[in-house]
Amino acid sequence: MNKSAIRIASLALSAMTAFSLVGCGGGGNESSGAGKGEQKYNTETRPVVFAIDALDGNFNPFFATSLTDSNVAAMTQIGMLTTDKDGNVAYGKDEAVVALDIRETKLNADGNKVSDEADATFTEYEFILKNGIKFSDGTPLTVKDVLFNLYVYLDPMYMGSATIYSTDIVGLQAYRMQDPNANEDMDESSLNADFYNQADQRISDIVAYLDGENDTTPVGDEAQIKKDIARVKELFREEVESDWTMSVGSVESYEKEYNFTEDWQIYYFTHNVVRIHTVQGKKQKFPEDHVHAGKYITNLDEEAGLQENGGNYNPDIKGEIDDAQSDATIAEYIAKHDLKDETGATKEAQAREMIIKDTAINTVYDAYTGTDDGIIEILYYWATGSNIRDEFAAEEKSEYYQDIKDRNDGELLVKNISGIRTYKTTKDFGGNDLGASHDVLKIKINKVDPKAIWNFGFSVAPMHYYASGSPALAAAQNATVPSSEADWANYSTFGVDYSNEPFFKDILQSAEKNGKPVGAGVYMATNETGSGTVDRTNFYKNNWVYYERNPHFYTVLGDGTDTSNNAKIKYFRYRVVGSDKIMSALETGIVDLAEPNATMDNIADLNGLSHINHIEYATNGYGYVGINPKYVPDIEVRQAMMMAMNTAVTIKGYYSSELAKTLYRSMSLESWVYNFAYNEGEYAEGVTEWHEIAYTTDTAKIEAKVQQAGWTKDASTGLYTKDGKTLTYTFTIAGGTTDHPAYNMFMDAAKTLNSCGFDITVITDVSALTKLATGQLAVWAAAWSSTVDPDLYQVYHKDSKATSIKNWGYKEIYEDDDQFGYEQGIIDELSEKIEIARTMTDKPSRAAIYQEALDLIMQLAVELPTYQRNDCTAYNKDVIDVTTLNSNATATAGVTNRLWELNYN
Amino acid sequence: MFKYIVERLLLSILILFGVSLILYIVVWNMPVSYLETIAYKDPTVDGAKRLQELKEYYGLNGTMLQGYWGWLVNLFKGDLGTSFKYNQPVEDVIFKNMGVSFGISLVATVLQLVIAVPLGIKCAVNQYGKLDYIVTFLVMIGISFPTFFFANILIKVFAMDLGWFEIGGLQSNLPTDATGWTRFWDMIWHLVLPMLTLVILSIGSWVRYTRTNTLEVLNADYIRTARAKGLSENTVIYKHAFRNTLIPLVTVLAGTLPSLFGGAMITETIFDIPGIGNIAYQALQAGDIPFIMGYNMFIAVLTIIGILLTDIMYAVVDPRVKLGD
Repeated sequence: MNKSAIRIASLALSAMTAFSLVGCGGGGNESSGAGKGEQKYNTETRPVVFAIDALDGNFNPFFATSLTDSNVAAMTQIGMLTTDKDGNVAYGKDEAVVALDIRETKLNADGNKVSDEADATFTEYEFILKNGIKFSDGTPLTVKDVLFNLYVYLDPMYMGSATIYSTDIVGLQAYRMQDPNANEDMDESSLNADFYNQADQRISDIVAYLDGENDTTPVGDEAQIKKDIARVKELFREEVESDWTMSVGSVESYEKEYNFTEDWQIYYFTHNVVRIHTVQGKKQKFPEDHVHAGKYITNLDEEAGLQENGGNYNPDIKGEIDDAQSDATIAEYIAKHDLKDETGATKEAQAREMIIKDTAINTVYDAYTGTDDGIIEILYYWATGSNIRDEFAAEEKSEYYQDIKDRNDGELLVKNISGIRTYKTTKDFGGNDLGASHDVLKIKINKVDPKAIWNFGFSVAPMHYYASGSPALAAAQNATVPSSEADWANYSTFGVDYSNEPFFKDILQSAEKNGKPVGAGVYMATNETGSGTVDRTNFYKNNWVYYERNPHFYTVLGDGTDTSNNAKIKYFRYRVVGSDKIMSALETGIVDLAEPNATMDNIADLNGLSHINHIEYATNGYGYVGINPKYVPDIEVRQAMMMAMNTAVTIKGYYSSELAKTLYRSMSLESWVYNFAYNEGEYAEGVTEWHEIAYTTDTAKIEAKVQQAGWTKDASTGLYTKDGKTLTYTFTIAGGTTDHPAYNMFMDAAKTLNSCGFDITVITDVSALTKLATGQLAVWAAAWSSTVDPDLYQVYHKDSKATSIKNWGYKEIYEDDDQFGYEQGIIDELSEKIEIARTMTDKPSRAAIYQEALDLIMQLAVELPTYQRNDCTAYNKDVIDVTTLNSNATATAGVTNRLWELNYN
Repeated sequence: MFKYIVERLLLSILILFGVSLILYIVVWNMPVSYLETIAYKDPTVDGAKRLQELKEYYGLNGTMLQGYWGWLVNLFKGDLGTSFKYNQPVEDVIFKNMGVSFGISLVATVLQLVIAVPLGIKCAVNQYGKLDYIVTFLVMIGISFPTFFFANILIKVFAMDLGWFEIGGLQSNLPTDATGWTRFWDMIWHLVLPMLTLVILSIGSWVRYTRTNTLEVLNADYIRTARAKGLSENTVIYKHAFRNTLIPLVTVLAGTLPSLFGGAMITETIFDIPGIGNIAYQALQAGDIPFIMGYNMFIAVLTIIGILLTDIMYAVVDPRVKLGD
């Protein structure tokens, strides 16, 4: 190397040293001791840094999709509710949430409170909102903001990740579909069914109106009913006229059979006005006037006949028809219908025919339409009844679309969600005086849904920020939230432009709003200098997210006046660190807190770092292996596969007994159900493996299972066969790598099974979760993230519409009675238990039902729970005051769940 | 030449159209679908229904050709669409994150040239000499290293063990009152390792290229003539040979345009640098159709411009070449 090269190299080296000095000086900010004498780090100048995985930069609280983006947005938001360490709903003065008090009431169909949940038609949730909360920009958080958030989440145009719309709120579907009769299971055919329901209602209204016996029966619009009755008569006349035409066409055949010679005879015969009389069991082939011939009737029910014909017989039909053909009437008909030929001769015969026709028709028409009972009979027994029903339904349908059309011109058919209302109160739900008037949000849902409450913990983002730029904002700001049901009927100003694409795409999701969240959370968005304009370009910049203490946060806690409830540390930052470098970041001190995976290797490394402490807590979810009966129809084969899987391997090989636990039923170990059902109930000694699928290395046992299902081993290939098929399956690991807890277990199981006559391959698949959602995987390893409530409806109930039931092949199971009779029985029973458990809130009784339900799931042999691992939060103990962290963190109350209390050493 | 450029540009439109169609077919058939991921995220809701709603919302409920047509129509309206993943207009995401990638690549390219060209010439002059062997050996090592491997070695040695640099990112945890100068140097400090990675791994090919070209030039008749005239070796090499060596180099340089703006996907990802390469990598993994289309078309346009520039530069620096005549 010549001299110049050496010079360049030394220059580069000195430059590097200079940079590194800059870097070292960067994160220091140790307190000089002034003001915060006892603190090692200055809370007013040193930003605290949490590590976060890659961000997408979509920090809109409504539309953030990734977990990390949601976390960034959540820092600036408060929710309606939160959860405590045991997974119960938490609210009130001590929690940073909007709800001061909540109440859940079960109601019957009439809206009265019921004590027995089984009688509940509705469940009503009421939330008293705190007064005086302010968003970080100083604007008050009011009930209008709460309604705005709800109406964004529940709008049909909302395409974000929140699934509040899946809760069966009363009137929600009506609002979303703008169809007053819509319900949860609405589709095209049920929409038509509803038009028929409305038609039936109109028919019922007519009947009720005509039925004078019950005067209290409410009838609809009287003018409409009269119009409908007139229409019924019109249709009835059309029907009897058409019958006449048919009778005329039938003369020949009737004459042949009954010796009828005249049209009117056939016509009356077909309308039961005249009957064939029988004498001594012999059919006499001529018609008789019914009343005149009463003496001949032997085996016909005269009473029924009278009733059928409105009880209004003309005593002398033949005579009447003869009388009608008077000279005067004939002349009248000739004149009226111009019945003359070219020569001017009158067509008397034709006139007579017409008179006979009209008389005959009028006889029947008058007999029915002349009385209320007759009209009711038309509706119930005549073709006119079903014709008018079709006509009414068509009218309703056309009206429905006309209404939608009108709505598109600016008017909503369903103004709001009838199950969401607000009112004011001065007392909490315990009857204590609140000292001031508070707004109460009331949400009514259909039936009982223990999970619903978790959907109502949504964050409350400011309407004035997120709706800005839309005329809907000003309208909502100027409107007064109704206080009476009558006012609610026409209220629709929630700051949301209903189902309006530009509103949802350009206003709510403008680049600025997606890039910079605003709310009432512990921190608010800032930039790297903490001054000047804060916008999407400097809030998240160069893989840093900048926050500053929200000066109004204290308004949400306590009585809302103690400013010391604001965040202790002024500046908070997220630093994007790739998941593979989390440990290095902790080690080199570039982040103060991070959440590495709690694997054996990581925990060992953390234990080796003197400046790092970590807190572990069980994650609220568990790993499992699923087998889809669609592909593995024989239950014995599914059980055989499970018998070959040693769930202990998932823990031994990947975590350790401290970092993960084995579980034997499809329910998180963190759930109170698991604790109640298996620690205090029948399984007080501890739950064990389900006996039918207990792990074994004995291949003879596994083969015996397979043989039970009728599989036989092909001597030449060594594979089991049945109906020309072999046991060829793919075990899929959900994810792109074999670095998965279940991988070794799958490999071992595949080896065992292949030695028994199976043909198993183990693969990894990045798209596994999508394939799973469409029921494309036969055997797979994945994980459930559990919800706080143990409800199993969505995942296991036979009527669930959720994606997850595709995993279990329910559709195929219910399509093949021969193959899946046994499974159907189990699923029916399981569904029944799930339904019962849903209607209960008493934990021990509910847990007992779930215990049976979970055993049924094991019996079904579609899911093998494998392990439940821990999560981990690691922090720099030199920097962070450990007493300000939640050391007893759980899955539902994290280490920094009271972030505003976080402080430095 | 003007006519030639116009012809080439018109041809480029046709090429871009073909490229976009092929891209769309590939992207449409990717195993990852962003909409499916979102729709099926919560297994306790009716994912199929949600997917349908999402597809309608994003106008992807038709066939692949309908989807492509929709994309093309929007493109002609100057709309590249909105990225699913980043929920921002595709062009915004590209331009917002392009700066840092361009900065890194530009500096790295300049450094590569500043180091590689003199080294290449030296090696050529001292062909089969000690320096030639040493440099060839070292640059071959550089060429052979995979990016992720070399980058991680740098991080391990210089960030983890020696503590001279941070393990990644663009900025330290600077106080709010840090000066602009401090922030600037802090960023440069963070860029040392990524740039070192890029320079060391790419320098080899430039050295080899310069060496080969120089050797070719040195064997040319006019060099022999120059030497015969009795010019000093330095004048022969740096005045006569050097200029001619540059001709092929300049043309190749024009071809590096896409890599300047397109970002260094692997390097940026390893060093957690929010450049366009890193952003594109994540979008690719997520199956973000609008972004992948937009980004790849951006690269395609740059590539076509790069090739065109190469041809034009060739004509500019080499008077013997005439275009379009």
